[in-house]
Amino acid sequence: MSDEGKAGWIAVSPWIIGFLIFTAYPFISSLYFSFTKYDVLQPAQWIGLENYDRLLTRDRLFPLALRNTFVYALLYVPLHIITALGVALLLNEARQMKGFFRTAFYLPSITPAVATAYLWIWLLNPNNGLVNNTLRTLHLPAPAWTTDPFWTKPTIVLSSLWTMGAAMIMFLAALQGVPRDLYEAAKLDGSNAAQRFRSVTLPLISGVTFFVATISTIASLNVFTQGYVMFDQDGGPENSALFVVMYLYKRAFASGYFQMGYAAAIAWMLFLVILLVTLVQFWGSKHWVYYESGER
Amino acid sequence: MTNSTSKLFQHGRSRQSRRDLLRKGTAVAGGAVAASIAAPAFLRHAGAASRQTPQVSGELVEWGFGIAETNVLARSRVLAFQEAYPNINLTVVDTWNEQTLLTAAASETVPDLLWLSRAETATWAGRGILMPLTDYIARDSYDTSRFYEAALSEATFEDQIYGIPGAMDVRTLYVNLNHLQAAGVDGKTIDTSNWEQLSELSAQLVQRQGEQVSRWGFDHKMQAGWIWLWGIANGGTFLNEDGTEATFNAEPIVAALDWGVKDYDGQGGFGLYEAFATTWQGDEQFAREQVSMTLYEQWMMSGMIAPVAPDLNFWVLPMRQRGSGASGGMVSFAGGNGWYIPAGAKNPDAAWEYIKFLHSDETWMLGAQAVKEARTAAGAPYIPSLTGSTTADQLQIDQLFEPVGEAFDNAVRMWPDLLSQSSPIPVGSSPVAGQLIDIILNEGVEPALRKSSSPQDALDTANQSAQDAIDSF
Repeated sequence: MSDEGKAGWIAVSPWIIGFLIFTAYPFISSLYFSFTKYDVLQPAQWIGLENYDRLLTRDRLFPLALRNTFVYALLYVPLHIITALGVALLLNEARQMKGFFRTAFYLPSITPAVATAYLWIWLLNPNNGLVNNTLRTLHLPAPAWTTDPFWTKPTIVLSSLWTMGAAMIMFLAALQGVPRDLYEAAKLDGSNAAQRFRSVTLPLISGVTFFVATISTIASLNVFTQGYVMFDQDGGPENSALFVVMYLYKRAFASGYFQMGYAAAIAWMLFLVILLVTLVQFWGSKHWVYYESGER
Repeated sequence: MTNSTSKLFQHGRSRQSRRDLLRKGTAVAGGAVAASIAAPAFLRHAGAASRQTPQVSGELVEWGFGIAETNVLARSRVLAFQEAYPNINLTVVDTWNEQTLLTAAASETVPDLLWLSRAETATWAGRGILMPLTDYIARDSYDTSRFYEAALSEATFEDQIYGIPGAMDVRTLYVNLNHLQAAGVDGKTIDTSNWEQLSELSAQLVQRQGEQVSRWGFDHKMQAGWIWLWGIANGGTFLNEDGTEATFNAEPIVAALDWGVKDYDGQGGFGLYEAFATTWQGDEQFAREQVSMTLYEQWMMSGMIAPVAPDLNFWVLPMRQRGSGASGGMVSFAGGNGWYIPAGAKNPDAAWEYIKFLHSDETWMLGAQAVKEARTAAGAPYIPSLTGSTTADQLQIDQLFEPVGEAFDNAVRMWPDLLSQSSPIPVGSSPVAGQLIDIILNEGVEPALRKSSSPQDALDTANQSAQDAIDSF
């Protein structure tokens, strides 16, 4: 190996070592443990596919947690994109105080999720929260946001939407990259604002939209913090806010379960689900994502 | 300091150091004046443990027993230990959780002492994490008969004692006498064995406009895990005698849960309860008169009523076996923490000395005295802390407790009798206790309260899951 090559390996070795120890090893270990009965205290005992069999055929809570997670993702991802894009469009048109509004809308993204969750618990308190008090004043129905199983997932979605700052910044950058002359050409052709948005803006920001959709889908399938803080590891009323990662955590670390092998199997099932969903998204992107280079 | 007080620690240390010791204790008590009460009898009878010259030394690491300045009872006793055992270098780690203990056990870095909920004794002992204390107890002829039966049995797993009780909690019914008087009832005479009467009162006491509740009638706390108390009071057991079979769906427990569902229905339903409960702060709902009747641990009086509403017109009643009448058998489930030595501890001898020292009657009284002085300095009444030890509790009541008010006095004097009739949490003897608690709440009680299942169906499901958990351990 040349000196330059050696220097290169030395330069990247801290990352490689870190990756091998803290990512690759746990990743592979968890696959092994998913085929074992393991509580950390006793040596892992190989049980083959027993964990997966139990997970898929006998566990009442795993399908429920998976369904909750999908419902959350289906609610959250589109609303997240719409909200972030909507705010980005407004900021893109803003004439004054652009910097202030940009900062203001981004701020919740860097607020700790725990603090945000607690804030929303109070805002959405069914008995005397600000939201329900306002709804009552307007003689509108006041949902039991945090205690009715029907409303728990919308509640978490609502609190999660607040932190759309990162996506908003990406959309804003994409919007500012749309060539002005395309809008002018469309105007000359007699298009209205909605037509320009649909035919010019959306195709030209579709790359960013795809990126945001993919990342937020993965994040939403891994949802944990908001649900854990608002409803604890038990998943709220009737397990309606029990998400897959919360269930994994509970099986591994809480309530004396210590079922590390089983939790590892849950983690691998979730990994496969996320992989599948992401592959579908990539396949679907061929039909709607436009790249300036001409690739679809 | 009186001569008798100086006899508190007879460890072969100098009189000066004993003075220092007590000074530290009183300093912790918020700078209160030095003890000037007449020398109580207990001070003249130092225990066997405290008469021995300390032989142990080295590092001693304990987890979970915070000694912040605000925790006078703990701090004064630990400082006394440090004073008495200068050769032991004590390291206090305030908090720990299941994950830290698991990783410590896996990496063989367990502490020497664990301050652990006794309900978790079987959970950890069953996994080989804890060391039986039986040999130490036999070696030192350590008297375990002074502990309440409920506390000691909770610290025992498969006939071996793993923990020494170091705190106790007990549950009773708190009633707001003004609210009950407005409903035409003398709260002091409620027959807690008559569940039908309790239900009637619940419905009478709740105050709400439509779906907005301003006062809850009776918080029976089944949703918070107190199904144990109701099940026991109705003759249920939850597990068979050797803990191998779950009996969650036995008739007495189903009937108890059915009653709990109907009781909340009479007040507007569990949904309204839950919505209202989310507005409570600091668990002070009873003291703030947002709840008329509630079950609660004994620390309600010193922790909530005394500081928040010292003039509250309340009364404390024991729960009794259903249908046994107003003077029937008392029922409660009692819990609390204890001291444990993990298997693999590096300095178990020092850990055992620490346990003995902290739980001698003399040390308890030193701590209690410090608490009393702190509370007096703060203008608050002194309410004895429950220790798990019959003798230490009685000493506090007999020699330190001074009448505060009729309601307080009645409750404090009832505790020893109630504790002697209490049971530990019924599933605590199982190594999968944590799972069983989780299962009965989330698969049994909650679906029934929410009406997504009948009590019978919910408890059938819970029982099946519980049995699976027991069988797969």
